[in-house]
Amino acid sequence: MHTVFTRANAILAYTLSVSACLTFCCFLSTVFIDYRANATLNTVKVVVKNVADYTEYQTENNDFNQVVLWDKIVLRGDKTVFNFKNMNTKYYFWDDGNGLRNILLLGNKNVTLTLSWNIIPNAGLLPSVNAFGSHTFAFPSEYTSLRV
Amino acid sequence: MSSWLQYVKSMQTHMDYDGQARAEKLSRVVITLFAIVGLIWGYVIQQFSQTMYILGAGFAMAALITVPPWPMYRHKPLEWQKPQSGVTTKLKKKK
Amino acid sequence: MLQSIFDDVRRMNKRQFLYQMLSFGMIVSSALMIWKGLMVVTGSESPIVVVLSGSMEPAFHRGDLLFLTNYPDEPVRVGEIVVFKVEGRDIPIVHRVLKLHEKGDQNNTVKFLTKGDNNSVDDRGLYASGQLWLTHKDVVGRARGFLPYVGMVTIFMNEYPKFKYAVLMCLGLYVLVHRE
Repeated sequence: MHTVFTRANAILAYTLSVSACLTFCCFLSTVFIDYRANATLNTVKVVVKNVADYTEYQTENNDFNQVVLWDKIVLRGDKTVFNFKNMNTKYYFWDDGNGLRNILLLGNKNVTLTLSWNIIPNAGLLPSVNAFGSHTFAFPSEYTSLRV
Repeated sequence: MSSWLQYVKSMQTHMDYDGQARAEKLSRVVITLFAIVGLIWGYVIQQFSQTMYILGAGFAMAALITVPPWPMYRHKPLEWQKPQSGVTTKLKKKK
Repeated sequence: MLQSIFDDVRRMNKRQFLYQMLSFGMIVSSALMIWKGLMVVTGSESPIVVVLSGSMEPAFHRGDLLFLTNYPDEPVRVGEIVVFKVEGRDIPIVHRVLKLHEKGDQNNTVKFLTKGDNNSVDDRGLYASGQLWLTHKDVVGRARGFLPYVGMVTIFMNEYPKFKYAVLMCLGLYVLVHRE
């Protein structure tokens, strides 16, 4: 601490350690939050959320398929209650192969729509959370060439 | 230009030992205090960036208070012994 | 100040100089040990990456730090953020999984398509020519932890190599010359 340089260095080093400590506190404050309980998406300390609506199904080609149909980035402070009706998918529902029609031929309704979101905090873990509830349905047995 | 340089060189930059200790302690206290206040404030309004800004203010404050060798860190200068004449000659005799 | 530094060196004898060299080696090797240890623990070939592009904004910005894991028994799922390498590009890419098809056979063959949050189209244009899907062997890791801004230093150093060498020189000199 005998010269200006060593004092400035010491203060800077101490500030950096304290900021690391504060960041760790911030991380700790997010670890034990159960985001599923706060299903209104109005959780604390969250900068960005990516809401993705995805579907899981089974075809002859592939045992397990997941396709994102819609997603939305929700920033902190954005409106977090969505009410969509008759909405088109954001991404095409393309199968790897010709499996979508076959789903019915397999004899089970196994296209499942679920909602999940991925939370980006200030610092810390990146939890991926599934919403409660899902919707299961089947596609028609024939492809159509016209709008329904 | 040269007179300005002379002035810079003649500036006192030292702190005495007691002042150094106090400067270090003071800087720690200031930064820690700002950090704690920042953490609480940031938690209340749920904005971590505010915590960091307050910590930055604490850093600036500590730098302002303790980095320049203010006169208050020079209150207890070391008391050197008075130069004694004849010591060197005595030593030489011993050899 | 410079003079006082070299005074330290001049006052050292051979034994102290060797000790200095040893402590320098200890610093380098412990850094290497931490890195390799993290590789073993996380299973990823580079457990910490710096985000280099804005294609995942507003989630990740340039200079953010990501901690990766790559456990083989954890399956990749849609919506996860993966870091992958594409042939012909030496910089790994951080993007989100958009589509995924799993065969369900013994090898657990899985193929998936990714997209950056900030990009309007998926990543087929970024892959090697003719490559339509990514598989397990392309994956470097899955993003698990996030730390903002810290990687800025690395980006700055990579953009100004002279600055990097200057910093490394200063640090090395300081460790070698400074007496404990």
